[in-house]
Amino acid sequence: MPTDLQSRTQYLALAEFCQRIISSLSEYVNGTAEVPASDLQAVLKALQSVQSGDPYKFGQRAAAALVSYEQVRTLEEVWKLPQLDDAVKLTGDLLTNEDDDDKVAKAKKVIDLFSKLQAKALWNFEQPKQTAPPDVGELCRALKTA
Amino acid sequence: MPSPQNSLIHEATSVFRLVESIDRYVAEHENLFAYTDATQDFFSDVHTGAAATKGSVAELIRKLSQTPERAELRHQRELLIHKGHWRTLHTYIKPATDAHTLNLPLPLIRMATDDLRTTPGMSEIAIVVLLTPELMFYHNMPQSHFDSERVFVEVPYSQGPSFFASLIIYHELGHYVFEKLKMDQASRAFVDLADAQEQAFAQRLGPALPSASLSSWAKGRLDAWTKEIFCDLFALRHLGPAFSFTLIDFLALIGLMEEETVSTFDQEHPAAALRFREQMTRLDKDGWWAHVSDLPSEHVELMKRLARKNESDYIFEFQNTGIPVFVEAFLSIVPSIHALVVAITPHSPAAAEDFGRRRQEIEECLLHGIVPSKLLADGTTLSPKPVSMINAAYCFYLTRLPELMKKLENQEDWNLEHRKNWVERLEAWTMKGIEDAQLLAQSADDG
Repeated sequence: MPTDLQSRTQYLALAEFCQRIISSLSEYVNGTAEVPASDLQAVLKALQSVQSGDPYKFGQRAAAALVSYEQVRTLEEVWKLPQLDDAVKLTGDLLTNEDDDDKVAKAKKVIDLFSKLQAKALWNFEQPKQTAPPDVGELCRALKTA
Repeated sequence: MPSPQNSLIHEATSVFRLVESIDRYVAEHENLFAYTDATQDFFSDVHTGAAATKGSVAELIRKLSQTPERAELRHQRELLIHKGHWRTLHTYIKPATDAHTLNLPLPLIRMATDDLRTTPGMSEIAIVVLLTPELMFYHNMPQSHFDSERVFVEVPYSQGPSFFASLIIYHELGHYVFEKLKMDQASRAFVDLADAQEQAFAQRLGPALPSASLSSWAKGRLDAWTKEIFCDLFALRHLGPAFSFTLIDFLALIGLMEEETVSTFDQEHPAAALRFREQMTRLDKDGWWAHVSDLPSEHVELMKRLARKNESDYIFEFQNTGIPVFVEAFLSIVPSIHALVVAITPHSPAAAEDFGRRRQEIEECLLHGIVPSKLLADGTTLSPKPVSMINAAYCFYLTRLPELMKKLENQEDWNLEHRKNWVERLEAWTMKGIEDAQLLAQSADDG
């Protein structure tokens, strides 16, 4: 049976996902690299999937960092809805080719958002306590009104 | 107060030491014990990974010490992620070093490896056995480390030498196959199954769920149940009814076959009643059931009883509350699971037929304490298929053990010590029969 630690590696996957975008954007902010387009594309795709309300796709490996209940719940706990929308908008702006004097400032905001998400993901990885399960009452109410 | 630079060097040193000590531990055990090739390869990768991590950590500190780059939060987080990976790997090393060849039913591991390699796209797969302190078989795959050509199977340390109980590893292999199918996206039947899942979710659950996390949770339940039925049927296609029998024995051993709970779905598993109903359906369609349905055994009666349970009695219980709609949604997916299993596993009626023809002869061998590697037929000898030996041995175990013991002096079938000894011998004869079949196949391959 996986140990508690093994079953928490999905948080480590989320932390790694954040690390990739933080590192590559930091290099852009420091002027040592271009805008990390492929990393940003991956971020945009994952965030839009959460935004759609249905990030889990049957038949696809859950290696993506924002798929499982625990990962999505972590994001929902750290970012409120406007911040998710902000992150999607900022990431989209960074990917446009238009000249934008604010690109570095926007990159810093994205770094900040992902840094907070990463801190929570690493915290959850370290903690033996599992993410709170769904609210049974909410679940039953939702299904009875379906 | 230490500078951020010094703190980082301190942390990097602790990561370096952790990696080095794991690396050394593995090397020491390699010198003491023999391991399967798959485990040996895993250990080689641990050594390679250790060298890579130590190099990467040392390079990070070198850059921060010898260039203008300064220590930042992201560098510290990078170290934390390295540490997280090695802390996770740390939990695999001891169970893998415990699983040396003296502690494993090697012929079964070899047979399972060969069978797994018949699955399309999986010809290079290797099985690494981990001996776990939990009384539970488990396929172990940490999400952040999917190793596509290596299957980690956890076997309870107490059951490692037990041949019959270890048949359950086939179910665990099914978990790996399911994940691999997700990765490869090459099976039409698998895509059809995913479509059936999406449809069941969209029609019955999706519109009602108010958040992305709840939607992921709900889909996770349907996926987990799908996987469990898939794994049962995958094991069944390779092993026949012996798998169902050993699953009954193991679930009973860990208290999961109580009458009050057999119709209950939990977060990870469908109800036992449904699992055995689907196994019975599969055995029937594959030609096995006709050969065992009249076996005078409680196992067969139990399967029949579970299969008769009414679907309306099935209930999904979560935190002591019955959750509606999920079970109905899931039942519409089940036919697609059968279709997938049939598409990716060998055609098993031939195995059922061999069992039907050879069962009595194999059982006669076992009744006389003879390893059933070769059977006399029409003045010549022939070797039954390993899967026939396994099933005949299990049927013998369920129905004829007292007959064997009665033939021997001072052996009482009610004496648990005596009975345990003869079950172990029966397992040893069966395992030897499989080993002989593997040697014969090997020598035939070698020409």
